Amino acid sequence: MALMARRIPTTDVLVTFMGAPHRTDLTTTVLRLVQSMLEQGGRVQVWACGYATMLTQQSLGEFKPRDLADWSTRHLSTATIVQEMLRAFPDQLYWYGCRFCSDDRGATDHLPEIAMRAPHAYAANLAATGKTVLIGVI
Amino acid sequence: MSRVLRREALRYLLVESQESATEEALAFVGDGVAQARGGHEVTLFLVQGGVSLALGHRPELSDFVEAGGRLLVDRFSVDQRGISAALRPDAVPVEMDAIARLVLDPEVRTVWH
Repeated sequence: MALMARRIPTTDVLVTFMGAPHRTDLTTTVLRLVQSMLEQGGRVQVWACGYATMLTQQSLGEFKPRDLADWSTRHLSTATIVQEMLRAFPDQLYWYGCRFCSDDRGATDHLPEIAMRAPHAYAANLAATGKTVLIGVI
Repeated sequence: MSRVLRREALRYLLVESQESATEEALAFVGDGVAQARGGHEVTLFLVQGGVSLALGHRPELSDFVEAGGRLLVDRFSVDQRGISAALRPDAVPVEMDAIARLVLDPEVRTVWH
């Protein structure tokens, strides 16, 4: 029996998000932008590529490691933030990860909500959006 | 006939996020100047380290504003760096909501550097 291709829900914007998570403020900027678009009713899909695939690993846990300068405050991990956004906007936000980039970096255990896709499948995501914004560099 | 050949005004959102005034960042602003002078509606949004471009009186940004471009800076990035008092007067601090609105607008072409 032939395998059925995954159906990609149509969105207003596809954010292709690349780059190392902690090199700059890029991750914060992307998460702020995505949240703002969702709060305005936009339908958004994120394709994480390169080191951005590291953001949704289950091994990150619920919180970031403690901040030695602010011991009593707990900060959510990126995995938790993405998961909470997906739960808050179930029909508006879709988060995909590039399987090749992820496997290449040894990141193989992602949140169950993340759809891992082969690089060539990116074309289907492009076809399912009104606009694409590429942010960051691999 | 394409929209460009009919010379209709297009709408662009240019996002500069790179640190300081690199050659590429200034060339990016130059692209915005060319589009604005061509009659298009151009918004330049400075975010992350890109907000440092709005310090002082960089002539490239003056050219951009004089050509009709709109210069926005990310309030969060500015506050994070404590540089709000040193921003050039024609730089308008905005929240991310304003940029999200532009990105969602199907008529606005977005380029991120």
